[in-house]
Amino acid sequence: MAQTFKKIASQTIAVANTATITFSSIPQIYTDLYLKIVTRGGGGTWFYTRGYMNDLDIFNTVAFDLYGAVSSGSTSPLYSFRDLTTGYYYPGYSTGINVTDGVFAVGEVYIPNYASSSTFKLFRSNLGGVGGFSCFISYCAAAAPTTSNITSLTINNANYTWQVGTTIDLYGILKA
Amino acid sequence: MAITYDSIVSTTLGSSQNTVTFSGISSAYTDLRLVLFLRNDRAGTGTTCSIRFNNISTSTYDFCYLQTFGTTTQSGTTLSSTMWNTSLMNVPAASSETNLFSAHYIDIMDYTNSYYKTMLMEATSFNTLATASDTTTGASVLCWRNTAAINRIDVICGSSANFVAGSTFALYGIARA
Repeated sequence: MAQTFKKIASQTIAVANTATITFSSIPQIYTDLYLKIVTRGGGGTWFYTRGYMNDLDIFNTVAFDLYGAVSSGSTSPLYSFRDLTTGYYYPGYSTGINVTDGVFAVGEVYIPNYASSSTFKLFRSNLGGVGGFSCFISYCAAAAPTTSNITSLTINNANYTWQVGTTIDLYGILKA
Repeated sequence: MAITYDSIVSTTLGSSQNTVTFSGISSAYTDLRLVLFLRNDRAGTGTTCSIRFNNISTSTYDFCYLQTFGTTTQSGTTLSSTMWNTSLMNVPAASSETNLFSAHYIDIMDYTNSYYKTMLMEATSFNTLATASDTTTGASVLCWRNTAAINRIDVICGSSANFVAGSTFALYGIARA
């Protein structure tokens, strides 16, 4: 039987306060990419993650068009947003060091048609966690107005770092 | 090559049933995905189903949700519940439009690790088509405060109702690759 959902690479943070996780030289043989995200960051309670495509884009050379909704678990605050011309897409919030020990945020990012050199790139993500006294859940989409194929992906915790145990797996969904 | 997205078991009900149990779940995978396609026989337009792990009903289920309910955006949190039963787990019932089932996708990540288990659900439920207030869609996140590997999942219909024939329960394993 064909292998249609293949783990390309996996990175687990072994040293606290690592700044970024990067997958480079991504093979171009798949139809879509899927990121499985299990994160705990160095911020206080919750802090948002940022995702970048291709190496240069960490310098904000691509103007992502972001949409999403975020809940902190109560009826209010709850907000939706549209941010234009950011240099990153937005997987969602990660737990921080003041959230209950052993609690990680989990999520996923789906990137269809990433190897195309003729279409703009899309990212659909949701990420969430419950830390005993607080929680966050987000549901976001982003469009990157570039036809460049995606060869690398970087995830960071905005102004903070990743804690030990944070793991991001990159899967490829194979052309049938 | 190895199979990396494996159908562990799939059940389509031939008659009404309150609870469907997946037991003896193999620990050979990294993650699990549970896909539910549901309708129940309760009088009215819907009731909420729930999920329990390892047959444990202590107050260890913390969850929140973010959803649209009709044209309204809603969110909420429940802590120390005895099960995962957000309003996103609404299932069409006897008075719902014929042939409508709800769809629920649940990603149970790292289900064998020794941390608390955090998992995500996406769900969509229509009770009556073309009636804006009868639609629910969104996402929920659960932290199950238990460090044991998950080896059993129970999907339970609420209000002592039963899932009807045609309801489907499918469990997939994403293999270590």
